[in-house]
This record gives sequence, structure tokens and C-alpha cells, in this order.
Amino acid sequence: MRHNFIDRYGHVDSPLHRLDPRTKLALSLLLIVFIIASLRLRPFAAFVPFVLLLIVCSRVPLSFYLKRVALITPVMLLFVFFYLLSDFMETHSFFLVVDPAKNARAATMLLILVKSYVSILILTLLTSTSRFSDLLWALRRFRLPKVLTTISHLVYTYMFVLVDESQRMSRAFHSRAPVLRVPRLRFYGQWLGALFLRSLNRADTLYLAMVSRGFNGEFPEGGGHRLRLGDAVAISVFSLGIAYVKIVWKA
Amino acid sequence: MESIISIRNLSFCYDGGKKVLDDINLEIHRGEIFGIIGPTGAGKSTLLHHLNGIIRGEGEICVDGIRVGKGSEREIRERVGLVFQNPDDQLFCPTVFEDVAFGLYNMGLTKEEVTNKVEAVLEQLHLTDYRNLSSHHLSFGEKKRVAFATVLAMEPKVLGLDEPFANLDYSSILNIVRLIEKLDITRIVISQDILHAFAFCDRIAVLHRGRIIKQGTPAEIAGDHGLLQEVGLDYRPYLQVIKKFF
Repeated sequence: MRHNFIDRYGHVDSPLHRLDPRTKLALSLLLIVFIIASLRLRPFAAFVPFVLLLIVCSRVPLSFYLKRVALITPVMLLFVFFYLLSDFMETHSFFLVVDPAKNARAATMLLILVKSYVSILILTLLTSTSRFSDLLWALRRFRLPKVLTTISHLVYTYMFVLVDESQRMSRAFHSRAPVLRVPRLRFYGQWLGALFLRSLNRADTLYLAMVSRGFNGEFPEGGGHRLRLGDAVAISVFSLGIAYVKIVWKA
Repeated sequence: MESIISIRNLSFCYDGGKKVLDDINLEIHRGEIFGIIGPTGAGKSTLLHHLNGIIRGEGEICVDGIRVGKGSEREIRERVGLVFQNPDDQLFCPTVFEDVAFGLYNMGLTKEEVTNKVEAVLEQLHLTDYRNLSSHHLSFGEKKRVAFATVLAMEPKVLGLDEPFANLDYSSILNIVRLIEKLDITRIVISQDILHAFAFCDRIAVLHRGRIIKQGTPAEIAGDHGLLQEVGLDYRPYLQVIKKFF
């Protein structure tokens, strides 16, 4: 059973992992805001290689990033479908088929797609180069309300309970019924109900275990980080890079 | 002997359910190994959870002179550590280190103090090599040891162990017994396996249907065959079966 669904590579040692989580969080958000605000595709000729360089530096397998990015593909496909549909209803022709290079709508669609994928890549980069507790600590330092970080921590803690219970039920089921012979929909309804009850019960006991060790509604934060020379270098390089792209490339 | 835990007229029932604990009166002495035995559903775990204040019933419980109740949670949880029956119910952090550190952080210790205490207890329980592993990748016996470590790191005055020998092989049981015996604190052992309880407890209480029906030394309890038969804990037929192998 896996516990670290979000920060599976949070313990890897790399230059990015060694940065202060506050630096990583601030720079990631800054980059995402800048990317979202970009109105042209041209700056991405700089952003994309830069993000790829960071991915290489992170020492996290590329396949991991690809899998995470693939998660938003259904949403993106849906977006493309509706975008094409609305365009077709307006112009009675498909712009991509006619002349995508000269079509402003095609460029807009492409821009949105690239923005989405690059933003997800940056978020994945952030979560895979920091431990979850450290990110929560950084969020707290940025004055995010405690109730939000506590809820996030609880979700993180209990996520594995749900997965563990579903794996146990799945094993028990397949050991006695290798071929499903009951109406599927009804079975899965019952299965989900049982999963919910079992998880609730287990979560209750876990909560008691937490309370018995002094838990009073506040998770111990990670932290103990200090801004170092590497953080200063990263902040300078980032700021200069973004300023360059903004001024010279008029992004 | 000086009493460290004093329970007076403790009764408890779950929401809308039957009475699980019924007028429990108990004195547990400082430094002793106290066993609570009884069949399944007797209320043993519920009684243990009361000592730490995670369940509250009617009546009075005092631990080390502090009354268990609202306002004393912090002091009580620093004094009474519980090791649950199933370690999977006790371990919830991504790594062994973080699990052991959880209680210490809640006690308000600094990062350095926490690290020192965690390293020390991991070494004591031969778990140093596991510090960065996920608890859920360990064997059941190893998980049990980590569950012990999570509580021992907090240096409680009273250690409550819920079925510490369940699902363990004999070598692991022996390790746990040695570990429990070595500790210089009050230990309360909940067990259905009365032979293990007889082997190393100083005193034993028999719990049946929520009531303490007898207290005494292991010899006194083991000698009361009628009582053990009545509560379904008679071990003699089992001994008869295995006797032929020796």
C-alpha cells in the first residue's frame, strides 16, 4: 500500500528539493500567474524549455510527470470539443481544417492548451520536489488560514485509508469471485457503501490513535527551513528571467 | 504500594447500546505489570481507552493524581500511552520517523528535541534502518514495534497495551515480552491469551460482561478453574491437546 500519493518523490535529494519550500511555492505561483497572463504563444518558447530543465534537475522520473499531465487530458479534450463546436456553430466551418496558422481562434485554443499543460507541469514539479507537510508549512507562512491547512493535512492522512480499504475489499472479492456474476451497477453500489462504512470505521480508530498521542486539532507542521544562498540565486534567476521575457519578448 | 491509577464506579455504554463497562473499581500500582483478561466483547479495550481519556464514561479515573476529564487531556496523554491492537490503526504518517515524531511534536518539543528522542527510541527498538520507510511496507511484527516506538518516545508513566501478542509469532512475542519487562513504568496489558498474561503479569483482573469479577496474582487467577470456565477462558483443555507433543 502506498501512503504518499501526492509527494511520492518528496524525499528525493536534488537541487530543487533542497530549496526552501517557501521559495518553491512563491516562484511556482509567480510563474503560473505569469503564464496565465501571457497573451501570446511566443514566450512559451522560453517557458517550456525552462520547465523541462527544472524537470531534469528534479531527478524525478519523466514518466511520473507525463502520467500526472495525462490526468488533465480528458478535460482538455472536452475543452477542445466545445471550442470547435462553438466555432462551427458560429462560422459553419472548422477553423483547424481551413487554415489553423492564420486563424486567431486556433491560436487562442492552442494558447489555452499550452498554458494548462505547462501550469500542471509546474504544480507537479512543486509537489514532487517538496514534502506535503513542508508545503503546508510554507502555506501557513504565507498566512493561509490554519483551518485550510489542517483540512488539507487530514485529507492527505486519510486518503490512504480509503485506498487501503478498497484494496483489501478488492482482494477479498477476487479471492472468492474471480468472475463477476452479479449485476454490476448494483454490486458496485453496495461495494461503495461498504467501502465508505469500513473507511469511516478505520478513520475513527485512526483519529483515536491521533488523539491518544496528544492531537488537538492542529497537525505538527514541517518546517525548520531557512532561506539560503540557493534560494537567493533561484529567486534572482527567476525574477530576471521573467522580467526579460516580459520586457524583451513583450509577453 | 502506591497507586498510580485509580478507577471508581466507572460505567460506559456506546450511543444507544448496551452497557460495556459496569461499575468498574480498580487500583493499579506504580511500576507493576497489570493484566486485564477477558473474553471477546468483555470491554477490555474500552476500559483501556478510558485511561487515556479518548473515551469518557460515568465515574472517576485518576492517573498520577490527575483526574481524567475536560481540561486535563494534555497532562493525561503525556502520562498514559496506548498501543492499539492493530498497528495499522495506529500508524498514519508517511514514514516511520514522522509517525514516532507525531506525539512529540504535539507535546510542544522543538525539532531538535524531537529528532533526538525519535533517534533514541528507534535505536532502542532496533528500528533505525526503518526510519525513512513507510510503516505500511513493514511486516506485522515490525509494525507492532513501530507502534510501540510511537508511544515510548513520549516517555509515558503508564503504558497501555491492547492485545500486544495478537497475530505474532513466538519469537516476536518473546521480543515484546522482554521489551515490556525491561520498561521501568507501569504497564497495563489487555489480553485474551491468558497464558501470556499469567507468564509475566504481577497482578491480573478478569473482566466479564463489563464487570471486574476477580482480581489477584496470576497463581490465584490460574487456580480458579471454575471462574475461568465460566468466562470461557479455561486453558486446561488446550494444554491437554498440546501435552502429547511434549
